[in-house]
This record gives sequence, C-alpha cells and structure tokens, in this order.
Amino acid sequence: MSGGKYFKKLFVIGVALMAAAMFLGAGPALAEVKVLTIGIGTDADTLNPQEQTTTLIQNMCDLIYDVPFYQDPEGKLHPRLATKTETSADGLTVTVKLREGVKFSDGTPFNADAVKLTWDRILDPKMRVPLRFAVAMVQECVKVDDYTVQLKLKFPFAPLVPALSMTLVSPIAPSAIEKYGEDVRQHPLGAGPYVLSEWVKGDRIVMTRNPDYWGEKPTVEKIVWKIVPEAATREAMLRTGQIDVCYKPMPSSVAALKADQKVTVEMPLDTRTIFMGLNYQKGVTTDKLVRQAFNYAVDKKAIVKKILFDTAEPMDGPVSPKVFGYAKMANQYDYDPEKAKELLKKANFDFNQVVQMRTPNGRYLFDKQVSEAIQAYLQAIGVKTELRTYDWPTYVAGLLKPIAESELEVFLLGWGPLVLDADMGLYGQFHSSVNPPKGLGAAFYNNPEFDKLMEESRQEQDPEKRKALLLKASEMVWDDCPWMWLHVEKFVIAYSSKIKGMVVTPTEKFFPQYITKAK
Amino acid sequence: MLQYLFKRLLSIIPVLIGMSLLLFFMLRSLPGDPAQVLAGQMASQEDIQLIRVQLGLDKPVYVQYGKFVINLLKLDLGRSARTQNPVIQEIWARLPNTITLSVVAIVLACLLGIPAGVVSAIRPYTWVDYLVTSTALFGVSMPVFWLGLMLVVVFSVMLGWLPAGGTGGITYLILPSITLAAFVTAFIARMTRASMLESLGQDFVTTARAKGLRENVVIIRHALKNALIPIITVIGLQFGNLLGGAILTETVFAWPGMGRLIVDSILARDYPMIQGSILIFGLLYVLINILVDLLYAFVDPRIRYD
Amino acid sequence: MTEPTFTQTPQPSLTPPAGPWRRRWSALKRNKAAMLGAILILVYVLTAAFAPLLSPGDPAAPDLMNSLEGPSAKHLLGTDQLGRSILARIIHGSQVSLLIAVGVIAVGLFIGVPVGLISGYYGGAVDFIIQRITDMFLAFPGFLLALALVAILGVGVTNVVISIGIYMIPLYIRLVRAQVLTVRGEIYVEAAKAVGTNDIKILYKHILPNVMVPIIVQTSLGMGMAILFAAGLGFLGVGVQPPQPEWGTMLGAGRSYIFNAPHVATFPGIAIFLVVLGFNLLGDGLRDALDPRVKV
Repeated sequence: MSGGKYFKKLFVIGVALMAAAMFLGAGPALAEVKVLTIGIGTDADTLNPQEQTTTLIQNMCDLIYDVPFYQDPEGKLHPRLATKTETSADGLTVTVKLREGVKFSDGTPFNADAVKLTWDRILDPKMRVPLRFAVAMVQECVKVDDYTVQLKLKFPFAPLVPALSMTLVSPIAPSAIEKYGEDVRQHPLGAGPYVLSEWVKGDRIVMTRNPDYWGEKPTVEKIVWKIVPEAATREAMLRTGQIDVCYKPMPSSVAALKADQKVTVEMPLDTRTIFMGLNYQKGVTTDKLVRQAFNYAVDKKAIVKKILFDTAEPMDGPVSPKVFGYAKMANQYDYDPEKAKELLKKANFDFNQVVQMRTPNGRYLFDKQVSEAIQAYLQAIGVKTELRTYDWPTYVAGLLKPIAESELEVFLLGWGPLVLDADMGLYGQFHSSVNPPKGLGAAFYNNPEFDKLMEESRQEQDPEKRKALLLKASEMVWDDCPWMWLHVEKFVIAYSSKIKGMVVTPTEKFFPQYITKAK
Repeated sequence: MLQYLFKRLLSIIPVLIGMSLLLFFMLRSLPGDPAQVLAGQMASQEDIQLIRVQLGLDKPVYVQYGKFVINLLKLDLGRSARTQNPVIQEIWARLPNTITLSVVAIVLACLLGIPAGVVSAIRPYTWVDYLVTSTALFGVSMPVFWLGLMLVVVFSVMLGWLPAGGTGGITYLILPSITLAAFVTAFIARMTRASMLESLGQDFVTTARAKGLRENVVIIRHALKNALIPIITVIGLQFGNLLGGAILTETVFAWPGMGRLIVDSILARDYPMIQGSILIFGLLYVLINILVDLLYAFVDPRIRYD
Repeated sequence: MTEPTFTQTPQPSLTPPAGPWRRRWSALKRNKAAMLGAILILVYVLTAAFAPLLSPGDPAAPDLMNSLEGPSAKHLLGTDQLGRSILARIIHGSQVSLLIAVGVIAVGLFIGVPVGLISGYYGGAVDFIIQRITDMFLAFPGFLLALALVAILGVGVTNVVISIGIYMIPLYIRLVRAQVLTVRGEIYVEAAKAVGTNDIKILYKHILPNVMVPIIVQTSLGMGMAILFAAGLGFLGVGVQPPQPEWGTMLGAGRSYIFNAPHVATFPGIAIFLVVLGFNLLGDGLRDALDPRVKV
C-alpha cells in the first residue's frame, strides 16, 4: 500500500468516525472492538491451509496465516507476505519476492525457508493436499536468497500468479511443523493478524489479535466463531444480538433482514455457478438441439426470484461475471417453451422415454427445490422425467464413473472457482482432460477445438490476448450447451448494522479485522 | 448381588462385539467414498487414492475389521477420517454436553411427569385427569423438531426472552431441555398414571386404607412405591432413547453434542467416528439399563438378584 | 427424536385369558377419548383412500409465480416454496405416511411376532441367541439405526419402511416373548401339551390369542411411532423421492421459511400431530378397555 493511499484511507476512516459521532450525538462512538462473534454452520475439521477445501475454514486460515497475495473484491492483487512476482520470458520460472521483517506468531522468522517448506509439502505426493491440482504445474520451489524464491513450472501457466492468493499456499511456521508434526492442523501457527486461542470442538473457535502482526493493527481484539448449524437459529441469534455476524442466513429471510434497521446484509455475486449437467456423450442429451431445447424450457429468472429469493443471478455466460475472462453472451436462452418444443420436434425427440434426473440434497442452496422446479418445467413441454435425490457422498461417487459406466443424464452440480479467473471455470469443467473419472467435468464435454483454445490461453502471457481466447472458448461452449445454464450464487452475509468496514469478497470470504462498531 | 452384577457386566461384551460387527459391515456398505468426500470436488484421482491408503480403506474389509478390533482391545477407537483427531477426543468434547442435556431433560420430565401422573390417577376421569392425559398425549404426539422450531420462534424471535441456540449459561439449556423433555414427560406421566391406577386397585392399598392410614401416606408409601418399577423401567429405556434421540434437538438448537456429531459423520462417511460414537452410545445404554435393574432391588426389596 | 418405547419387563401380565370381545368393544365404545382417536384415524384412512377425489389439485404441479402464499380461498392452506397447494400435498401425503406406517407394522408383526413366540415358548439356547441379537439391535439408538439404514439403502418409501421396520422387529420380539412367558405355564397350555397337540398348533391356538391384546395396543401406538420416525427422516432430508409429498419432508423444507412463511412448516406439523394423536388415543383406549386390571 503506497503512502498516499494509506493517508486516503486514514482520511476516510476519520470522516466516517466524525460522521458516526455526529450521528449518535455522543462522545467517541467508534472504538476498538473487544469481541466480535460470528455465527457459522460447521466446525473446522483442520486448520492446516494445505488440507482445507471449505471456503469458510480457509477464511479462518487466512486470518491465522495470511496469504502471499490478497485478491480484493475487484480481482486486483495486493502484496501481503509476498511483495512482487516476475515471470521469465519462457513463462517457466516465476520469481517471488517475500516481505522482509515478518515474524510468525511464535517469534520465529518468516523467510524463504518457510515458504520453500510449505511448497515442498504442497508438492509432496504423500501429503494430503486436495487442491493440489490448482498448482500442479509447479515442478519445485527453489530458494534464491533469504527473501526470494523461484517457482519452476512444468509448462507455462499464465493464471499462476492469481493462484498465489489461495489459502492453499499460505505458509505454516516451520517451528510448528517441527513441534506438532501433522497435528499442526489442530495447532495452527502462522504470520497472520490473529492467533488461535481456544478451540472447543463443535462449539466455538476463538482467535485473538496477534500483537506482532507485520501489517496494520486489526481493530478487533477477539473473534469468536460460534458454531450454529441451523440457519434459522443463527438468524434468530443475530436478531437477539447473541452474535454480531450471521454467516449465510436463510435466503428466504434475506428480504426481512434487509428491511431490519439493525441488520446490514451484503450479498456480492460469487464465483460459484450452479448448473444442470447434460451428458454430452451418452443418452438423449448427445443431441445439441435437445440440449438447447432444455435450456429454453426453463425459466431461470423465475427460479432465481422465487426459489432463491434473489440470492443468485441467472447465468448469462459460462462463468461468473466476477472472473477475469467473463463476457455476457450475445444469444441468451430466455424462457421460451414454444421454441423448446420446436427444437425437440426438430431433433425427433421421443416423448415417451423417461429422462433420468438426479440431484444432491442439501449441498447447494435449495438444490433439491431447484431440481424439482426444473423437472416441472421439462414436464410442461412434454418431457417425462424421473428425479432422484442423494446425499452428497453417494452423489459424488455417481458423478465420477467413467463414461462407459456413467448413468448420468441430467444432473445438478455446482462449480466454484477459487480465484477470479475464468480458467478454473472453463478448463476445470469443459476441457476433455477433466472428464470423469479424471476430473469432475461430469457433463463429458469433448470438443477438440475448445481444448485447443484453452491450452493456448494457458500459454498466453498477454492479458488482452488471453481474454480474447477465453471469450472465443466461452462462446463455443455456450452454444454447445453441455449444461443447462442456471445461476451464479451470491454470497450472503448479514451483520449488525453497528458494524462498518466489513470486507466481503466474491470468493465467499469476508475479512472483519478492520471493522469499527458503534456502541 | 455382586455375582449378578458381574454376570450382567460380562454380558455386555457379546453385545458390543455383535454391535461392532454389524456396524462395521453396515458402514462399509454405505454408498460413497470417504476419501472422495474428504478430498473435495476438485481433487485428482491420485490424491483421492492417497487418502484412501492413509485411511486404510484400500485393504479388504476383514483386515480393516481385524485392525479395528485389535485397536479396540487397546481401548483405541482410532482417528477421525475428517479431522484426523483421535475419535475418543472428539467424543469426549461432546459427550458431556449430550449428557447434561439428557440429564436435565430427564430430571425435568420426572419432576413434572410423576406428580402429574399421580394426581391424575388419584382423580381419574375428572377434569384434572383429562387435563393431564390430554397434555401428555399432545406431548407424545408432537414431532420434536417441530416443537423446537415453534419454541424458537415464540420465545427467542418474538419475545426475545431466551437465546435461540448455542451453549453458555443456564438460559441456553432451557429451550432445548424443554423440547427434549416434552416427550419424555408425557411418557412418564402416562406410565405413572397407568401404573398408579393399577396399584391403587390392589388389595394392599385397600388394606392400608382400611387400617386408617392417611390418604397421603397410602398414596405415596404404598401405591406410588409399588408403581415405581414400571416407571423406572420407562425412564431407563427413555434415557437410552434420549441419548440417541437428541439428534434433532441438537440440530435445531445448535447444541454441540453427540447427536450432531453422528449425523455429520454419517454425511461425511467418517467411519471411525460413527463406529466410535455408536459403540459408546450402546455401552451407555446397556450400563444405564443395568443400573435400572439394580434400582429395582432398591425400590422393591422383594426383588433379589441371586 | 425420542420415540415411544414398547413397555417391557417387568410389568406384570396384561393378558387375560381369551374372553368375550364384545364386552371389550362396548367398554371401548364408552371411552370418548378412544372414540375420538378412532374418528381421527378413520378420517385419515378415508383421506388416504380417496385422496385423488378430495384433493383440490395436483400435489406435484408447481406454480412458481404463486409460491409461499399464505392461506387463501384459492389455496386453503397456502402454497409451498414451489407454489404447490399445501392442502393437496397434505392430502396426498396421507397416502405415503399410511403406506409407511402399515408397512413398518407389517414388517414388525410378520417377523417379530413369530420370532417372539418361538423365543418365549421354547426358551433355552434358541431363546438365548434370539435375545442376544435383540439386545444388540436395541442397544443401537433407534432413530440412528433407521437413519444409517436409509443412508445405505437410499431414499424412497420401500427403503424407509425397511429401515424403520428393522428397528420395530426387536420391540415386537421382546413384547411377545414377555407375554408368552406368562402364559406358557398356564393350565390350558399344559393341558394341550399333555394331550400331545403339536407345538405349532399350541402356539397358534392357545398362546397367540392370549398375547393378542398387548400386540393390538402396541400396534396402534407403533403406527403413531412409525409416522413420527418417518417424519424425522424426512425432516433430515432422507425420506421419499420428490415430487412425492411426504409430511416430514414438507416440514423439513418448510424449516427454511419459518420466519417469512411459517404456514409451510405449520400445517404438515399439525397433520402429523393429529394422526399420531389419533393412534395414541386409540392405543390408550384399547389398553384401558382390554386390560381388566385397570379399575375404572
């Protein structure tokens, strides 16, 4: 952060302070926040950032460990534990400069050795690193000097730098690894603004401010993550003031919460897209006309409004508008049952067959209800369907079968890229190399032209040219319709309106460390 | 007496072995792969396989079971697949909460249910009786989770008197224990009434009355004492049910107990965690029922275990 | 969820020798509460039987534009999250819950009663083995057992029936066995044995009729319990397949709208409550009417 910007920020805070003081008409109303209580749905399983796959828990890890780069809600990268990167001309070496003078919360120094150890652990095939695929192009991490490391790549990969904002690459203090071994997941130790001070399983996780944090001192002294599995209860606790922040309240209550003067609701668009996969290689959906017809048959706007209470937006391109490389597509599949019927007739669709639909139950926001509505829309144009629900483990096992064994026809799924770049959305779902069982591109999309475009985009270092390639790929897949393009979720968070300055990101994270709270 | 106790305790072993066997193979027939769930949506096949190996899921089921039993003999329930923490540690963190909730609920249920049952049995087919029996019937017929939700809506959201969930002081215990107790209270009241009616009709009560004992004495010393056995049985059995049945209450009220832990573990296919928790539940259930048997002897000196 | 447990040992015999059923019927008829229960059940069964005639519309036809509407003249009980008529879904849901309850009881009766008879009548090693297996099942928290079984078998009416039914079997075994033990030594059984009547005939002719009363009573209570269990499973999201209407599932879905559209969770809750109440009222009445030891 440059000096000028810092000053600007101070100025803004100062003005806000004065405004609030005037508004309340009494004394210094804004002060340090002693305790901030956040109601969340699940307990953490592990606080080892390399093992974590749940965004909420990654969010906690970010507060304990900090990240090399921080990606702000606009997608801009800010230096944190790393200060800058440099990519070699051949795109095979990325040099990372580290921040000097940073200490882990136990006083041991943060340096290239710590970063290298973390990378060695990420790349060690014996370690459990579920998200390793996101940095799998890294061959090794080499220490150059105490505050410089080099990442050697197997092949050029343009979106690597944004990936350095992922929790996955947060460094753990080597001293903690030495002391606790793999139990470090229960004893997290990093260089972030907070230190874990108490963890009561199933009940709460408590963090206190790290007095030696390298950056700006957080205003919140203590953060209590209170585990409240039932969303209705969580919301009631927010209203009664038992908690200050309610993580993901019930969508049905969003309108009421917004109307409540005592509550602020934020709901930025997320990166996660929800879709109905249409098997590209097997069954009735191999016909492009049928896939397009299904897209016209469903009123996505009504689903978003009525089932999701506007906590999502209909997709108008194959990736979330929040990511680099997104563009709104020219042709929109607006609700048009007549056109859908026409297309089906043109495809000689057999209206007597029963199309098999499946959906997880409770994995995504109102997943089952959305599927039920889609079932009804398909039935309305004369398509007979049978819908089956599964719990997540059963469901995901069914998704991963190779094409020969796959029973998938029409199935609901969500995909939430972790960085604000279209690569993870397009490559991660539609490149033929991610067809099950190798990946979770369960629609079995297979288009050599598309593959080629995506591969080219990964090599392209020039952002504008890369954007053009991503756009071309997007148009191709949008027309092919391996999905019913449903909606992009919003990340909903509600908190006491006394709180100002909460930072909420499109990757479903929020950062409360610099908030202020009126008395 | 001691010999009886010893025999009963010994009989736990085959029950637990049978349970563990049943449980173990039942779990392995669950569809879904724990490694897949742990690895998340984006992991590669290699990483999933790695986790499978780490969890020992690549070995044949009988080998897995053998290992489980050997560890069990060493009083080691293994490590949770999800958190990698020792199962016993995870259970230990939550069991006291479930027991607190259950004990409070049972005590509440006894304090309300037994007097209500006695009163209605003394005045059968009067308005008191109708009030008690109908209230009790309501309690037994109400879906627990529904009652819980309605209580939250009224007392936390509308009136703002009580916290909607979580743990803390005594106020946090009120709604969940009432919800959990509602059903048992009703059950105990019904049982007390039936069993009191029965014992009030017996000869020894008539005799006691004929001897000119005061009605209170007759009712408490003679009739109630005699009626206690079936009541205690019900309490013992209900305690087992409470332990197992706290799931929905714990879900509604965010109570960090065992019920919630088991549901989450089933959803994550965390085999060691499910095995450990249910075995502990089974053990508790058997122990409580042995305790109930011993209470019989205490309540009714005519019963001797030898 | 807590559930009614079949009362077991050491409650003394509930069984009189087979007697005039007519007298019992008139005793039952005098019991107003039991009659109320019977009426509730009758209404419930009739609703299930004539659901398509009674229902104001298609229970599976969504109308998104009119979702979550409160009770009105058009939709007496309002609409759910997909705009389906809640009344229509409750009416059709009665079929599902009745099917589940009857199925569960059938599983319990057809397996539990014969096994209980054998266990009690023969005693010895057979009894010992059966009782240990029963112990094992009873030591599982009942609702969890059902939950785990549904997770294995997958959702759907049949699987729900099997899962709850398996929990029901040991309860019947225990109940029947306890009753058999009390009548096994009776003179009429001894007499039958003495004249060389074969075991099956003794069990069928002499013992079964004398253990019928508690079985009937507990079947009524068990129906209520099965409905509560199924609703609990539905509430946790492991009930039947959509768009089949099931009360517990409806309630579970309604939980998400508890603040802004409480009617969605309220009405299925009331439906469950009334039906279970009916079975409990009737069960209690039956016990009072059929058990001669309860003095009125």
